[in-house]
Amino acid sequence: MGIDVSHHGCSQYRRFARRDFLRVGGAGLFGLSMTDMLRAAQRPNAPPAKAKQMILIWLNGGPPHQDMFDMKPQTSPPFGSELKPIKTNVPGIEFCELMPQLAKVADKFSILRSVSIGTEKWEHSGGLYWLTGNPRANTGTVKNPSYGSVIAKVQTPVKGLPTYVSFGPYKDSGDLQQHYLGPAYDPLMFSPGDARDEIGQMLTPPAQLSLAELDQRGALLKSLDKQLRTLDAAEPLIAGLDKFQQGAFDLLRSPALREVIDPRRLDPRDVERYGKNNDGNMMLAARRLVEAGVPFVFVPFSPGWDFHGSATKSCIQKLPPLDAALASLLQDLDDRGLLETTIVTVLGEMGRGPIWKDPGYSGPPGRNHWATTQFVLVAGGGFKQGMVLGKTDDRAQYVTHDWYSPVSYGRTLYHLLGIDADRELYTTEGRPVKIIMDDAPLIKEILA
Amino acid sequence: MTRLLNAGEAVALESHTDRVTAVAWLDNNRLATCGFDKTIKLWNVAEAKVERSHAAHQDHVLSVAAQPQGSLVASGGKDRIVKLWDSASDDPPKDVANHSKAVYCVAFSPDGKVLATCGEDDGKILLWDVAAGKALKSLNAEDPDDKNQRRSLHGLAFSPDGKQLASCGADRTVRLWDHEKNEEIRRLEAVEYQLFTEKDNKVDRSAKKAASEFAVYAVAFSPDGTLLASGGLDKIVRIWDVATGELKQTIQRQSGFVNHLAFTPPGDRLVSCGHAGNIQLWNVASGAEKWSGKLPALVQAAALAPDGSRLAIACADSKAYLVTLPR
Repeated sequence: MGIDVSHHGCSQYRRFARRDFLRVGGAGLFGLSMTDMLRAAQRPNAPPAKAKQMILIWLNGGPPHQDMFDMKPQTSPPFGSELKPIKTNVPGIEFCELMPQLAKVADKFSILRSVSIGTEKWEHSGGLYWLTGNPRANTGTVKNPSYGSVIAKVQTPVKGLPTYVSFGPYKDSGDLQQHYLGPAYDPLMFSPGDARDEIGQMLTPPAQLSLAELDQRGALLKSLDKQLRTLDAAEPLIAGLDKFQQGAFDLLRSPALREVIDPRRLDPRDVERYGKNNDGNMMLAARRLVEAGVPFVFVPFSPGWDFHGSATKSCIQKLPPLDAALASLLQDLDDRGLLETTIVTVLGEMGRGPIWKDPGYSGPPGRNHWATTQFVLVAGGGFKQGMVLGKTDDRAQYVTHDWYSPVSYGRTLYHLLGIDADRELYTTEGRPVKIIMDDAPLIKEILA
Repeated sequence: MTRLLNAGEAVALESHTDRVTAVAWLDNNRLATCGFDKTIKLWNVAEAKVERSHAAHQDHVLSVAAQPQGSLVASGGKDRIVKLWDSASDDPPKDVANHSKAVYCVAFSPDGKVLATCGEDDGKILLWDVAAGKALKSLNAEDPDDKNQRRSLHGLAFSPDGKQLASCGADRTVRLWDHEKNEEIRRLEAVEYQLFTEKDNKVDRSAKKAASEFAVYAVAFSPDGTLLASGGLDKIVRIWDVATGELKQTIQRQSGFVNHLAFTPPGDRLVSCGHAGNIQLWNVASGAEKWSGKLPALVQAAALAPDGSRLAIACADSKAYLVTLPR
């Protein structure tokens, strides 16, 4: 049972991105052009890659760090948690009692307790910062692309598979869908297991469109055209997309992709292990895409992590599905030998403050926005396992040790992916912009 | 690090075109396999040859069992159907039962007269008269006090004397049944897990006892029927005294979750298979590992040959493997 966002999230959170988004981005279709590949071959600054693939799990709204991975059992509520910590399989590390499965695989991931934006002004728009590694604001800053779009731009595509898949849109404050690389590097977007999803229907049998029908192209063109026209602010860029349409057709006709996401191929016991819900379906689909070789998968976990009201009830509703799905994903990637080369990272745009009665909410007390502390989970792909980096004060409100910014987080991700974060990419207007514009140190303590 | 078994130690049987999901020995040389390719195959193991193959189900076949003292093979599928076919005949399989969802496990009683089946979200074990092809009864494994529990049942095992039936499932329980009397004899309990609810924005906890903290996927009786082994998602193998319900041994495995257990004759050793491909042989009395090996594929299920010498393992790479266990 999900949380009714309309009753818990603040108005900023509920005002999801106004525009629709391009559902079949050019990103997955082409990746590198020949010119790009030649350029890539000559890049002396690119670090050697430890990670080949990445899954980013986005807990949109701002998950409560003090109720999850940075518990303060010596501190009573409102700063501390109503929940209790439990031991994990790593001596000395404890997590919330609502995550017993993750506690059994704590040796497969690490927790960063000291990465944060560090100032309250960002609130939900901090998602733009975290997901680009750049202090990108809603207005007045460069529209930096997300990690997935950059990977789609610079990495060699896998034949017949998209480079960047997203199981839904970015729903926090801000226009992340708009970025300087243009819609050509947007994700292929579909919702696993959702019968209402047009692209999913095209890809999964019994398909609404058979391969023969796809060849006629009419229906797909109509669908794509409808989506393109919704990108009102991106109209100047859309003209350039014509050349990507052939690639879109090729991708949607790809047997490799169809096989990976065909729900008929799922073992119901696997579905059950992942929690048998929409979040579990997304995580299972992410695993299958990574198994097939897709470089980047964005998993927008079901919304409702903006706990303005009902802090404890929200945890009881939200944490167990995350526990089952994430523990199964990490174990499965490890069993398949894929965790070593696949980054899995879990975060939201901020942490949360003490339990309080928000006058704007009629229900039980919740926790307000808090961007000076939060947690970020990292696993695989060259990250150390089974450690906690950094420390916050007794109230989990300020970092006391080893603070790093989202810029460091972004640079560390690119470092492990073998991408030079100082490399200049070109905007659709031909202007060079560094992938990460600011300098900040790598989070070296967390590198294996 | 567990040693990866080489091709000579893990002999591959190759014929399925998709994931192999279950295996069952008819005798020490004949093996039934089934899989995602919707077929059931009967193998002559010595010659590594498929003797018969039936496109039996409309969807993935998930479970298979061979009739002791008989020639029948039972299978259960994602199509919700349980089928029976005669391994000595070319006749196509016959439908004998329908479940509400996928059939996860089929098991014959030691005399081959009763077939027990269970599956996804069902909460019930169905028992069938094999000769008559008729339903005998159903055992209700639902907990009326826990409306949120998972109802899938994953594993079944008859005791060697056929009087008891063990079941396990997603609700974390291991139950012993007197199936003739239609009674649950006892639940085996080793851990407490918490149920969380919220009241006045405070956490309301209640503890429940169970066999495991998470889902249990496999149960196996010792040859003399005095011990029962269980294992599942928590990676822990537990060995229980059947008569008292006492937990006798706990074995903590390090690799992926457990999906098969079997005692080797005469019962002093236990073999466990894990999803990650790890096969381990344990001393039952001490819990010490005696041998281990790793397959180059993910394990779906396994079956020990009647003489206890070889293990057949169904794997996700479309192969079934044969591993000779050390003496």
